[in-house]
Amino acid sequence: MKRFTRTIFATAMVGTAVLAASAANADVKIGFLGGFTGPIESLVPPIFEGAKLAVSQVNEQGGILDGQKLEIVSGDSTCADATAASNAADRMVNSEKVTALVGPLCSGETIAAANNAAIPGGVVIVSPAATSPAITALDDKDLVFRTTSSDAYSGETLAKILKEKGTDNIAITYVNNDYGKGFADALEESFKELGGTVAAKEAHEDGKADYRAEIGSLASSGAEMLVVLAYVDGSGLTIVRQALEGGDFSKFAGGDGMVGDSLVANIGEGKLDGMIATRIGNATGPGTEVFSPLAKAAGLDPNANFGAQAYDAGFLIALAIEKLGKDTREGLNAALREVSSEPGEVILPGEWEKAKKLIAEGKDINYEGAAGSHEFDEAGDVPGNVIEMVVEGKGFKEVAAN
Amino acid sequence: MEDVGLLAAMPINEIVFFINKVVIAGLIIGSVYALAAVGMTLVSGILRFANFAHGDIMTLGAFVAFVLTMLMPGLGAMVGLPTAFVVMPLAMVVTAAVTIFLDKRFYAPLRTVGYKPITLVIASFGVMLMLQGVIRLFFGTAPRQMYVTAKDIYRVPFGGRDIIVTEPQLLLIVFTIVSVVALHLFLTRSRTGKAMRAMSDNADLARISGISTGHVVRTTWIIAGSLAAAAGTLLAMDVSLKPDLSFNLLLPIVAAMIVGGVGQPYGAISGGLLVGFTETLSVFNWAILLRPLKPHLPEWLEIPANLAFVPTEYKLVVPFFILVAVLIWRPHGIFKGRVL
Repeated sequence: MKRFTRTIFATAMVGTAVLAASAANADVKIGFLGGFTGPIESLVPPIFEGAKLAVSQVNEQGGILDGQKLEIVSGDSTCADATAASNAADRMVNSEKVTALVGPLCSGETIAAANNAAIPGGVVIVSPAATSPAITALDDKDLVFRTTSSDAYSGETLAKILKEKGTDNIAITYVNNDYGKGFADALEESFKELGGTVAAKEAHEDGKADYRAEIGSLASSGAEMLVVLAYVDGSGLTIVRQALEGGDFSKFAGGDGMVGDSLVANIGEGKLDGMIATRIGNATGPGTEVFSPLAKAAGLDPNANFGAQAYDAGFLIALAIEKLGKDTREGLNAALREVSSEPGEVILPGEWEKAKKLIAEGKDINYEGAAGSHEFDEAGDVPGNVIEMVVEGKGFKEVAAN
Repeated sequence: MEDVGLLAAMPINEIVFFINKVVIAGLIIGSVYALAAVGMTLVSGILRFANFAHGDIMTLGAFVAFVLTMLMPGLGAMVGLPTAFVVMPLAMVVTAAVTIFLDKRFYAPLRTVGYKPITLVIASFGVMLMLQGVIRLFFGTAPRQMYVTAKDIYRVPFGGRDIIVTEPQLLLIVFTIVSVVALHLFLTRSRTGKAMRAMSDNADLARISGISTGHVVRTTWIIAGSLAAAAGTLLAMDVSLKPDLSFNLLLPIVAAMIVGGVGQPYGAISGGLLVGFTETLSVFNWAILLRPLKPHLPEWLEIPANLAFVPTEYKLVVPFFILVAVLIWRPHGIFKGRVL
């Protein structure tokens, strides 16, 4: 009995000590969601590293708020499984009690996590990789942001380019997922607005051996050009090849998923000359130049897919918390908008100390990130840097930045 | 005078489009169905069960041909034919041997014990899943090309548009005709062929009259396996090789077999072509043939952009409809086959 009491007493003492310590130095906690398992599992670790780099810089340069540490916890949102993504987001919002979230990454899981956990919980989420235009239309109470541009911009740009080249009547075939559908919808809308005709717009399933029936149906619409919004290593290549073989189409265009040299390598040089495509370009700006050496010094690849976007998402959230002056969820979205947009003194990647000082002085700041300047619009989207590509000889060549 | 006007309005372009998309496409897919359904119907007629592993035997045959092609890529250039086609006879032999092995291991024991045909059907499901697993284990799921070099495409100019047939398609059609004729001669002239027909008609009577059942069963598997391998290889040459290549064709093949009459090789061939043509006709966009007539039609009549019976995504329902219709109104099929 005596020993029992002593144990209780000791435990209570230790517990109190721990509590006291954590109260004095409570970490500010943010979450990271990504598909650590699932169809993009190989892409996620470098993205997470990007976000972690931002966090470690904050901690190395004086920490956040009153010298507290910024902590990042991660969860697996699986990319493809909306239920798992909702559960992971729910854990972040309600158990881990994070202040804000970086991610999720895929468009579908982002929508699920936002609707089921983040928006009800009033948590700001900044996705570094979700590109579907559907996220723009989300009823998000101004909580959902992203540091990568929407496919709507690619669709718009592609429509403009096609129209400028004198194409008036197109047929669209797209891979049946969030990427393909979003891109196709955006392209159709913009192309029609510009006065063009979309003679056919049909989805197809990825990974089939034969698309001749689909191509026949598209060709019968009488369109002069086939726009293929699919992946070059999946259905895209087969469709272009079979359409050429069957003499159904001779003019092609594509989205960023089609930009790969394997297209020309498999179909034959010269057969696709003049095929147009768009691609989301690397941002150019002061932030990008500063970021490259920073990332390399930390042992990361500065050009990793969405790595820079994840870094920006993490850094922006930290800036917003600092601006808000406290570790709460309310008001974070407004603070995020303030620190990211003009006017204000420019803050580049890695300049946490400078930013902290300026905020303390009450000055307005404007973060120019590694992946763009991040001037969020009303829907929380950033404008894209879409590049026109054209097939010439062995593969795609850049035409001009738009 | 009016005749001249109509003649000038003849939509040559659109008719060629129709030939390409319906006649040629139907002939190609119909030939694949026919080749596969012949083997399946022979097995069903003689061994009295529907072998659901037949689709994956086609895929297996195609993969055997693929491996042989990769081993001797230069072989085709010497003969002037695609390598995959040159090694196809060897692939047919290997596949036939595999089917005999599968029969020995899985079907024969069940048959000797005297289980009902439905047990064998379920066993064939097991064999099907096993084959699918083995193929994916060794080759993965990525699509592959059977062609070492670029495939030849024959274009016959016809008005403004070309009639287009590719080399594998031509080979497929020729091979189908040759094998149908050969099969006909075999079944009507040779002793084994006659024995097979006898056994298909009445197994007990055939056994009493001294026909060697083992020999007939083996021959049946050889024909079924080798034709399946040929159909799979030729199909893979035409499109591309994937582990689910022929599994997706199983339904149209079963439909072709039942439409033709189970156990009837000629029925399977006509059933295969019938299902093939129905598929291409039902997804064809008829608006394209009506569009040239637009100046002659009253103004209130708008031609819709798409006038297909079935959208292309739902092509696979067509054989289903044929199957159900035949089972309701003509359960014996065109050629009076047995009812499974």
